Amino acid sequence: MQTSRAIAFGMLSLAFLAGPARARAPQEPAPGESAETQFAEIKADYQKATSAFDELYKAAKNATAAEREQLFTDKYPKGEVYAARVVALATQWPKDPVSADALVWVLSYAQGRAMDPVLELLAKDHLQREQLAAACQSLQYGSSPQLEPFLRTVLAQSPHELAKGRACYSLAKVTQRRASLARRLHGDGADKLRPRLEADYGAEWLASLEQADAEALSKQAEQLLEEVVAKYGALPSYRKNLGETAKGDLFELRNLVVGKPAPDIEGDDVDGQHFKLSDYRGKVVFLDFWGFW
Amino acid sequence: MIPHERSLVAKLADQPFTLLGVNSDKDRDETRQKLAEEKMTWRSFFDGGSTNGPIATAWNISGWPTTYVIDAEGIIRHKNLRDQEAEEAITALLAKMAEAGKDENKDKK
Repeated sequence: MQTSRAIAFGMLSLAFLAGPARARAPQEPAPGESAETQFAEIKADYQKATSAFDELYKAAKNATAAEREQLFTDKYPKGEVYAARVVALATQWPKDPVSADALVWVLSYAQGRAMDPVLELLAKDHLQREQLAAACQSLQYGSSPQLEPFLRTVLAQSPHELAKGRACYSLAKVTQRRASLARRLHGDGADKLRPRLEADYGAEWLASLEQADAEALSKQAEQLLEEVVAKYGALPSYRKNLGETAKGDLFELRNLVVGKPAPDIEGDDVDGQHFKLSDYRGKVVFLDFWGFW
Repeated sequence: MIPHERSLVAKLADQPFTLLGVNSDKDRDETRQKLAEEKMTWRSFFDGGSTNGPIATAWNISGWPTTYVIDAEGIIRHKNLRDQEAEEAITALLAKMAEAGKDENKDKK
């Protein structure tokens, strides 16, 4: 791959030198091309790659778990590839609202550091746009050192309440996740976690996580969630409004934590028999929220 | 996850341990049938046929699987451990219980 890219690049520079007509700068769009046509093309390619993967995955029904994992690694469309294409598009048309759409779109597929240039362009060229509300919503699941500064910028500067509210909520979630990573870095699985974090986000980020005060971060997340309830509660989120969503998180943060008694559960099993979690007091319980789907 | 759980349940069959599921599948009959097919002998709450069921909502679940290890006194001891990691944590808790039990018997003598 590295080699073919080098060859392609070499040919491109040759074409520049030899071309009798005016050579097109790499940034310049081809005739008839627009942010819109390019974005449509990127999305279509992604669709195609996803369907191709689905076909292969279905065909590999009898493969071993390891083989299927390999298939996933090899053939599942890579978010960073599409992030790079969207970044090129948005760099070419910085003022076009379609660029904002494309950047927001790719945030659902790009992970980790591949998000960084996407966030940078959104903050630089599109901070005033309404689309940032959708971006901030999907960012609650993200993890990149750039997320917190980005969300803080939106919270401070966006003119749209929905974007601010969702930025505030996602900031709480990202902060909470950072607290739990900081805690885990001082716990049992730290030796396995450390190299993974370093590979994904760099030594600097790892060092800052190791020095972070997990309790202070948790407190910060709690305050942000309270801010969501107080200021942005009625605004919509995925399944419930932001207020209800944040209240669920506050309950989890305060009660569903190590060292606290598990709230009792009462319900019917698949045979319709009524029972309670507390029926099993006296035993160690592994409680698993699951589904066959 | 499921193969490991199956072996965990078998391995700890004579221990004060239980695996409890909270199932968020749509159809109760279909789920019961699959449980039998997959030889999953442990009990699950059927959470109203959706991921928005009352139990998942009360526990603020946003991703599946989510797991908790709860000790014999009903205190949460671990969150979101899977497979080998979960097994190690559970085994450690059981060992601590056995140790405490021994001490108690000693005191009685």
